[in-house]
Amino acid sequence: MSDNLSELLVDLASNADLMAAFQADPERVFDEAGLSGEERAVMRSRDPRLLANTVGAGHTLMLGHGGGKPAPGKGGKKKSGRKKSGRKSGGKKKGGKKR
Amino acid sequence: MPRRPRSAGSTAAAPIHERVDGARRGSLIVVGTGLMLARHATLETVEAISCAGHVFHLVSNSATEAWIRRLNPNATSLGDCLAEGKPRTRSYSEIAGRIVEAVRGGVRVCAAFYGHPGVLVTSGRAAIARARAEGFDAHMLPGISAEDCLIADLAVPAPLLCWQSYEATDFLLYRRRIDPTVALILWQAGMLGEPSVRRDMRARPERLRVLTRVLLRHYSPRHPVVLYEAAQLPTSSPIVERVTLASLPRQSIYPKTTLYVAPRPATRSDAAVARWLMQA
Repeated sequence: MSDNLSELLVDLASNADLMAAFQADPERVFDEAGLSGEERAVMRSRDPRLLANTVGAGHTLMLGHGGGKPAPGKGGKKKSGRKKSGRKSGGKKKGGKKR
Repeated sequence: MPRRPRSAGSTAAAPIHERVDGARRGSLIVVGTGLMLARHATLETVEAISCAGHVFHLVSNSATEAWIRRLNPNATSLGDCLAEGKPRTRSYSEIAGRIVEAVRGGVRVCAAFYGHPGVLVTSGRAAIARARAEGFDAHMLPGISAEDCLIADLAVPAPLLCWQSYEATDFLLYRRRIDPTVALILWQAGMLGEPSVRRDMRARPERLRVLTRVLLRHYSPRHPVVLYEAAQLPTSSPIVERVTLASLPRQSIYPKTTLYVAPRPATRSDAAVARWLMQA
């Protein structure tokens, strides 16, 4: 995937005239941006996930939003399930020990 | 009137704080680019990116990276800190370390994350804490989060006077208590219980079953749930899928999917409190 698609999307996001031109005649805007056939197909599809994946190369496909499991020992005791009643991420009752 | 940001492609020298003794003094500002490419960034965020000596970024697509490079060519992606199978906590610590290292080097650093930089972004907050502990000026600017977009896009029938919002793993892990008569927002359901990242990640059905079981203690199987993803690109629309709670384990739920569980009909207000408020 070339940089042309990313650059075009930045232009569309920041230039209302270009966005109007795109809505009126997308093919002309694709020509001017130098998009490949594959890039044009993605844009024509209007599929937000396909488009996001196409410009989400590399690490961005693996991004959540941050956060994740709490750091070991932070707040929630015995998180990793060593010793004492094993711990899982939810479900199953624990048998009423502690707390 | 905000200061005009440096023009795209400018190669002006990196602005650096000067101390009285002439030594370079680094600083850190952590910003959020919002969800929608370029359009969600506030004026102060654009200025912070434009005027930084160096920008580190972890954003959701290469178009946003291109936009940041236009604002400031001295920009580096932090994406290489993430890798399949690598514990996320380690990645986030590395990210914070890299940011603070540049601050120590005397650079006015801007760290840009997508969404709101203080919502579910551990590395931005960690970098601020480390920089402050070492005596550097460090602060955060607000950004538009997925929750902000959800509230706008779902056009919830009544104005949201109150709601509850949890990271999905945290919700299960700590057995958070909820009030089912209040709207419930669960973030990152697609990363439920995942210590690491992987390509094409989706929530594991067995974990969704556990989440569903917990929610079924409060809601009926036919209770409506919305799977939501904010629009990220100017030619895209938000993704809004309406399903029933019971069908949740069968759904494809992606890392950026946020769950919205509608409130059950409200309970009656407290008549005594209402009378007292009217008298006041």
